[in-house]
Amino acid sequence: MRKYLLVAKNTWDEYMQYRLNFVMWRVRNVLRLIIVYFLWYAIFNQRGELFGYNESQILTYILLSSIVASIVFSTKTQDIGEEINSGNLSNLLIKPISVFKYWMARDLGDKLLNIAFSIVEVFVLIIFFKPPLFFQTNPIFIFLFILGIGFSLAIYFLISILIGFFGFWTPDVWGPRFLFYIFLEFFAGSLFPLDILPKPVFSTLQLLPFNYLLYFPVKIYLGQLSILSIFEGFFVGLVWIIVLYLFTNKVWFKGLKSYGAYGR
Amino acid sequence: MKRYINIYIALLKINLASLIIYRANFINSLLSSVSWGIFSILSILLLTSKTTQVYSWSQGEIILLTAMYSIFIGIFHTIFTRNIEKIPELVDRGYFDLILTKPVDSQFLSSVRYFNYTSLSRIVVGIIALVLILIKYNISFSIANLPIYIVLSIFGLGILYNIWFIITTLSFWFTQLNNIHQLMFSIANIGRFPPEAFSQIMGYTFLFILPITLIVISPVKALTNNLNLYDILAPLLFFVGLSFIARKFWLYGLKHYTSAGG
Repeated sequence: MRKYLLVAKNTWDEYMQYRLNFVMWRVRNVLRLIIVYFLWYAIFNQRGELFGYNESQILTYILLSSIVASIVFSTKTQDIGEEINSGNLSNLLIKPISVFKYWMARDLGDKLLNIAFSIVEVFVLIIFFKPPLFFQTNPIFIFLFILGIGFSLAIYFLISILIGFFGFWTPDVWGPRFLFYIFLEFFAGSLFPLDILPKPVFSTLQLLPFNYLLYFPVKIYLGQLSILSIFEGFFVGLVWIIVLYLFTNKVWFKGLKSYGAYGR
Repeated sequence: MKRYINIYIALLKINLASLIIYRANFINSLLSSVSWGIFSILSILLLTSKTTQVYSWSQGEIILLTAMYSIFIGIFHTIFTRNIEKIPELVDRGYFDLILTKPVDSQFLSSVRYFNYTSLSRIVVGIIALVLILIKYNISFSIANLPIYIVLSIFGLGILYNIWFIITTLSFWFTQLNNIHQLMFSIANIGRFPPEAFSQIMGYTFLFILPITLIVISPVKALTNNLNLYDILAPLLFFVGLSFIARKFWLYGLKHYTSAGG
């Protein structure tokens, strides 16, 4: 366990080494949040309710989904494809560590740093703009919200490493990843709550894993899902985790067989 | 000047050849570009579906702005983005020597070496959306204003290029600045929305955002006959001022290039 904590710490230290780069990443996130925030603020202007949300619910959704996005989407797994292509994966394979746990530890370091900054940024924005916010007081919903984030973390980690494994068969690893980011941008629910989409589109999205990354946990926090819907969601999410886990393992071992350690 | 035009034509040919060689890369880029363009327009259509006006802009005008932004950013990505993206890596690894040792201006070569043909698809998506929007929302526009639209678009491209280039020049002092481009994508995104949306952000922040809010808005106003003197002068002044700063800063930065690893 200690060696993985050390990996997490090393990831943190890497960021501290290239501080300006990290600051730019955070500024980018704040800017993105401000754009979405003001867009919704303008659309909501002088309206009591829109798309079934009142102003405090929608602004809470936007700000909270930004924090959840920081927790879920901050990752170092985007480097996996490059590590395979460059042959650097060999450095990991010869060490007495689990490669999967190593990547999880890298993610942990990345996430802790991004969460800390994200919370401070959103807090500053709240003080600065004083938006009307919704505070959930029911401990059951807060507990289920945290559990929902746990599901999001697992699903995102598995999908992200799976995309990295494209590197076993092609040097063009950025293409599938970029397409994945496009789908995330629109179907995870960071720009808008997914239930404002036309019903057939929304129903289809509920079957896909993207919906569990942001939309599902934030909706739990807002208390807009019944306990039955929440457990239905957890069930579908769990099925996705199991399917993705089994598939990721299969692809990993298949990929290792075709791994030629080129460049080493 | 003629020499640089010839060099640019030669670069276009080389890039076309590389496009044909790396076909998987081409298909990936094409899919990504088209999906991004379509989703951007669809999401703004969705968000404005229940409202007739956002600030002083009608729903049709807001969607028109998104389509125009798609065309604008498509042109920018085609000509500049891939080039500017490469600069920090070239400087960091010392490969920038290859640029400096060529008998061509280093800013020119660093800015236009790669021509991203696949981003042309983003322009096509924008143009299709533009035509549909003009018909559906019955937005009147004047063909006579097309020349001023083109001139203001060139100012807009110049403004974005210079801001991006100034920030990227920092890579002569700071290594591993690959997040610069993520930041710039977000900054450029501001151009998609009416400037009034950001009026709450007071003081220096707004001054920083101001030139970006002009890059697409001014040409759009030209096309829809809403142009005033400010919409022409402000982009012109920002373009000239930022071009001067970018050039001076680049030349200053070059003096700090250490060629480490080169």
